[in-house]
Amino acid sequence: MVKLFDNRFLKIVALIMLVGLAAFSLLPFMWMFSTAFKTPNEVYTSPPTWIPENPTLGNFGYIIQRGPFALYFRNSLLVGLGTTALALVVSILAGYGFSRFRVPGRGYLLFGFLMAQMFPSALLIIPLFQLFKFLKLMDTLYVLILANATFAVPLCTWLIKGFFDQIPHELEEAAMIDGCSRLGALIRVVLPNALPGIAAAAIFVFIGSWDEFVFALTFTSSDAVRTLPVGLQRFITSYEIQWNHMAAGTVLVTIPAVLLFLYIQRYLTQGMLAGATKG
Amino acid sequence: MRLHNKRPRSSKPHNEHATEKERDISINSPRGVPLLLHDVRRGFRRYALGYLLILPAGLILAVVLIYPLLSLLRMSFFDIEPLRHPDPIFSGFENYVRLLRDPNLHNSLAQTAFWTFGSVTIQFGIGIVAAIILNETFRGRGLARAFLLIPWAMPSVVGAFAWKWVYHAQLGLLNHILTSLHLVSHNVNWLGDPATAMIAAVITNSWRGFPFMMLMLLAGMQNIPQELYDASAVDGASFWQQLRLITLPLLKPVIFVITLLSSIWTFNNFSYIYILTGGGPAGMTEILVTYVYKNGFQFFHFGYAAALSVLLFAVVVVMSFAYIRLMSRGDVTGD
Repeated sequence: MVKLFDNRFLKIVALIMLVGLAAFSLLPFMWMFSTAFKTPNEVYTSPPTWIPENPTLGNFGYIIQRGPFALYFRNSLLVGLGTTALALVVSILAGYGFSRFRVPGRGYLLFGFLMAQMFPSALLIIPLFQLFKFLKLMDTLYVLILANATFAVPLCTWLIKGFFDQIPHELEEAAMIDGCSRLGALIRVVLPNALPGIAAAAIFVFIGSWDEFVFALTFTSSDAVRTLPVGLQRFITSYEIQWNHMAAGTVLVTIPAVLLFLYIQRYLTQGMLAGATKG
Repeated sequence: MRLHNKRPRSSKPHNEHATEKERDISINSPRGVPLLLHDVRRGFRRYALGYLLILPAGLILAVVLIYPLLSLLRMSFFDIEPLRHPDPIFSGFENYVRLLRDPNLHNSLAQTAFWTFGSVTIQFGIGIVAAIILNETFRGRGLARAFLLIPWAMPSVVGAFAWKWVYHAQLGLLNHILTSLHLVSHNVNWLGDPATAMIAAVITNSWRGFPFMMLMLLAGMQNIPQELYDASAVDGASFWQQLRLITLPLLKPVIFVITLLSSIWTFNNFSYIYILTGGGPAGMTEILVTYVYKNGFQFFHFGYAAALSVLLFAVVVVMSFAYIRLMSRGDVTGD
């Protein structure tokens, strides 16, 4: 291959562009990060500083203790775990069914599960709002878990089916000959082998739920059940914006999501590409 | 794979298209008795169990997805205004007629087109440049790749808040950088000025979405056989010729898929616009999804919002069908 970097001029141009892109990628978050450690006075000084002159943890202390932030954090965690648990249980069963049983209509069902992933949340908020009001579930954490299932279950089913497809039938057939039932073979043989993939699917769903905004905005109205994304949004609208507090909040929201993301990033391209082609 | 099966037959990779019969013959009990008959008797139970396994997921989706979509269709034929009258009134196609005459909707369709097309174009432009550079070998490549992934790794709402702060009229980083470089003479209210708000939002969304394009393009580039490059190098091809005649043509299937997927995601994206501008100023960033939300939950025109949602649904279905057709042709992953 003729290398771009064999040409000295192109190499320099390319590296400058790369530095520019890295700055573009990093600056917004670094700016937020730096603000999170500033005193209120420094936030309002001009020209702004990159490295806080009097770095303080006060902003973190403030939002954790004074605001309802800890509550939002707990709610996000509960909704995330609930969504993940619900999606995993039904998707492991459905993924196994799709992977191992050529039931009539399988193609249409799989197609439906794939389509479901493309629907925007905004499409569902009107009818779901009516449904949840009728079921008297509004303003609870359950309603968010149920609503999140609209994207979590189809996504998780497709991913897990893909991972199951890669496990040879012979494994569980051997187990069944040795006296395992179908479900026994699924639990004892297939699941342990698919575990890394299932963990990745679980994290995908958890991050999706951690990030979910539209449903939480529409279906909850009290602090007791508000999740982080909407809670942060409320910082902007309902109080006078304290950017240093806001920044500290976003840093806290980011950390768990980025750690989980790093764990699954090797599955990203694989999952996106492999998932949909193996119908 | 943790378990190894010593029998020669099973060392053959699993074939999806092997018939049930073939597979059954291959299984022998430890004593060597074929299980064929036994399995035929279980034929019915096989299907029943298959449906049973899919049932819980199917039930959940029926309740939270299929039923809502059907009720949406029904609602779109009613006048539902809880603030004006408690009960829905049947109104036929009135909501749909209103769709045709609503200037705000026409504005929001134009904004949606700009938002989607602009974001995807910039995402692709940055993504392909980054992928080409990262496809070279140089010191610090892993670090550069990790840096460029950060916008995608962060929770999307955090990205929106971070940019809102960057765009801040008085205290924002962008105005500070531009004024110190003497590119602008006074602070610009990026998100508050109708002339710049949509562009600012598009840049934010491009920032968020380009790492996905980059990753997929990079993966695609690494699947292109090295021999093609070697042979063309022997013939004296330059870097640009290789890019134009080998890399880009062979990436075409991947490019189709990622631009379509990214279009769907951008079209569906609610939180960025809502957090950055809330659809303002003067409706200049009002996209279809925020317009649906506004009609439902700020104006409480539920019937009209349902009709808008049906329109939204139609657009999404068309895009998704195109996407799935592309994917199922199977030339993306090469199988």
